[in-house]
Amino acid sequence: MAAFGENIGMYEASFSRLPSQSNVYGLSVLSMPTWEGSKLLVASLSGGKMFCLEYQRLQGVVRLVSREIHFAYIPGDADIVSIDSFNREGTQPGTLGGLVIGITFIKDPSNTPAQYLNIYSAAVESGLEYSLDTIAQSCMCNIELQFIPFQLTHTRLCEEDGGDTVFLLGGNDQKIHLFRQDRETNQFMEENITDCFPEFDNLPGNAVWMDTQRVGGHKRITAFGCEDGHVNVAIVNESSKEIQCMGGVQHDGPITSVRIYRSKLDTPCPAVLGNKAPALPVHTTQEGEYHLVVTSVLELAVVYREVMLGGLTRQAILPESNLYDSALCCCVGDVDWDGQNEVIIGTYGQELLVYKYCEGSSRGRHKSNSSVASEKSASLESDFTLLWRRSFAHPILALAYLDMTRDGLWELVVISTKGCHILQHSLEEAAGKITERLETLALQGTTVNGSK
Amino acid sequence: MRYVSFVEHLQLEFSGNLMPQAMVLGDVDNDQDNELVAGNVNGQLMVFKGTDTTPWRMASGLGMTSCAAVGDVCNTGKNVIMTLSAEGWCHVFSVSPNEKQNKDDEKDKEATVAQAKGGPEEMTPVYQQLLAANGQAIVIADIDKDGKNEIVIGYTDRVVRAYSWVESTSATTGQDVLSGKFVLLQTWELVGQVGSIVVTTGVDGQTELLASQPGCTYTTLLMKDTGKGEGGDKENNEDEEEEEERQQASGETVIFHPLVSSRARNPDVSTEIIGNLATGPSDDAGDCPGRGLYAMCTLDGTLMLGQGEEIVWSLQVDHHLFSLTKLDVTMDGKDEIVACGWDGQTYIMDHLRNMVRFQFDQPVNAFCAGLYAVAPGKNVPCLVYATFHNNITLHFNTTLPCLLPTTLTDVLADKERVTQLLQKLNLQDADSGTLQQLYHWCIYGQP
Repeated sequence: MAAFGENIGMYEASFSRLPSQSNVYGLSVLSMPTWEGSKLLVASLSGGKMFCLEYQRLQGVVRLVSREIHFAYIPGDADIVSIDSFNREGTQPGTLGGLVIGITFIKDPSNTPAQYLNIYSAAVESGLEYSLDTIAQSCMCNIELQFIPFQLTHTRLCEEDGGDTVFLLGGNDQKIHLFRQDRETNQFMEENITDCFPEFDNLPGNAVWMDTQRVGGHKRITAFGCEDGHVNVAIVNESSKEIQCMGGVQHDGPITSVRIYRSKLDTPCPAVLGNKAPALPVHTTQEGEYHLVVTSVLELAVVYREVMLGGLTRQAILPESNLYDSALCCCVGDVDWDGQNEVIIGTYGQELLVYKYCEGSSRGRHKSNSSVASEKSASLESDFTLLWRRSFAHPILALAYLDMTRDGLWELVVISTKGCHILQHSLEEAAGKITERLETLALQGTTVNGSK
Repeated sequence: MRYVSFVEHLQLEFSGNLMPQAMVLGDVDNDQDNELVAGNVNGQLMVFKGTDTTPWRMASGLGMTSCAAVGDVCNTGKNVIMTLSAEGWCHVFSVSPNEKQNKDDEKDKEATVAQAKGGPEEMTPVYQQLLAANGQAIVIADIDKDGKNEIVIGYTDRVVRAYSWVESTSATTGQDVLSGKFVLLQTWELVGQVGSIVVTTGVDGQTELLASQPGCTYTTLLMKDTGKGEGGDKENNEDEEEEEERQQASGETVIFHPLVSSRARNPDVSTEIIGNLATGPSDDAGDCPGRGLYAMCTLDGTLMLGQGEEIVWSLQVDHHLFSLTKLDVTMDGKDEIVACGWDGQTYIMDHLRNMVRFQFDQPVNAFCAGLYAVAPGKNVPCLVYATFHNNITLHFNTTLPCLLPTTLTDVLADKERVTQLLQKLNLQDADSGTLQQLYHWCIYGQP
């Protein structure tokens, strides 16, 4: 957008300090029902403290409120490693049944360390499925782990496997572990990962970060990055458990994060507009839309484009991403409001970098197949451009782009070693864009009525 | 409570401790760019300019510098630095800007670099005089409306003295030395310790001299020869004034404002005051509601905004506030109040009591806020913290779009055009969830 100029007009709306540093696995976005608004759960590394951050409206004024949540059965000397949460399916298919929060921690880290995974959830249909304080007191299970836990994440299994959402936990035993809730006992149990995820069999190293994405046609993209620099991506048929293709590359130095994303994002037209809105082109998910961001400790962050078509062959670098110490985290969001997702990188060198994909070079590549090699080398330099960068006072550990303020405009959440920064877009610019769009809508609305 | 973090900063090399009022921002070399002046207790004075983290100019042997000020003390049309030592010596420094005789820029740069490598340029005072000892607050302003600046100094013995510069009649001896001297103009004796002195425009539009007094109170200092002002006060509070007049036949020049409803917890706690808070460009229109605003803070955590005898608002915080300045953080022409505690907690507040906090991570030795030219030709708002670890941290570009957190819904609700458009679309009664979806689609959904 031309209006943005050199800066995409985001400023720090709020900053919430944490008593001790968090880590790269320390942020979880709580998927609350719509009326609750978005909340964040941030882990503070030492002391086992967890904080819930949300915007609250008091006397007409919105404020970022940070509240400590006391989770039961986490000792005071514990170091939190990773947290994750998901919204489980309700008793009726298609309904939501409440939050499930998983926390991995190391108990007594200095003397006799022991690792645990605690899973919290309120009783089904108790009416308190989203009350954090209730959830925090109802520990469903406390699983002792025989390995050092890494990233805790979740994914939904396909219908053939029951359609449950399961926790996936990486460990230092070169394995990824799957925890699934038993339907009868309601307890989470570890299950054999290869039954559902054959791509996680026989890992080349300790997976520090993984991401899965379900694609239409019973397909699943799985990507993971290892401590030794190995990045693997696999396309799996969910129902037949057949690995359709799998490829890996070796980076120099440990991988810090991987993320599968789509170039566009689907924004459904609000129901209230009905036929007033121009009909959206019927969106078909194309396999060429999926890309993979990889950040690593030593090297430039890269994007592997079109992973479903070409695996890990179409590498595009994110220029200057190695200049600010290690890139630790990444997130994806349409921060310039053009319908295309941008890649956002957070570095230990206290910089936030936003990259935009340039259409021009990719078009050129499709035009002339003969000069693929030369085009590709050129595209290495020009596919992504640094759209915006902002310095922070502290190293950046985690990022998220979501609507915290419940106004339709998303905020960028940046977790630094000192706390949680919320970056808000320039509201005047957003108001301008909305006025423009509403003008068009109103115009279309009147012409439609006139023709009737 | 809203917190923010400021990122851009300079770490300036500064040795030794300094007194809270011995650090000031001002244009010392008359090039329209502000510099930072800081004097330590070991007699060194340093001037910082631009992004250079080492001093640009330096002076030493000044005694224990208790306060520093930048202003046109000698009424020559040029700003000078004035420092005051606890021993009573005042030193005046006239600083010339970097010479720009070389028109060739590169040579000029080289010259500056060479100069920077050679260490800061020594300054020698153009004037010094022994005044009364133990000054702790200074202000340079025209207090008697004669078009010339005076200096007003508050002392630890609860006396405030005003001096004016009198040029000697003999021919000037040259540019490097000023001829003339400071002559005592008036003395005020106060009841309590002076925290800071400020010259402000009163509610009636007249210039007032205020000195803060312990317990979140202040005193108006009147000039002896301003008969009109005194007369007006007499009319207003005839009874009280007359009683006081009888007690002190010599003529009352000190009016104490007890501010009865003040919520200060301790009547003896030291207090800082600032005045002349800009309330926006509409000031010139004549009567404006914000005239005569002043703010005070105390070491036990009271922050107060007052106007004349009335307290606009006051609140208690749990940090020891030792320094109070004003700065237009939102760039809207209105000054925000910036108060800093010993532990680095900084409060930025506007006239409507909206508050933003910033935590500086170290204990603070001295604090000031104002404009500083990081790049030549542009003064930007900044917060300056002197630490106990031999450095000064200067946070620059400390601007915020607004103090009160808002959302897009609030902004759009104030826009008439949007309300009209929503009516056209029959969405005027839509609930917040629907609007959220609609706005989200307007921004992220492409047509």
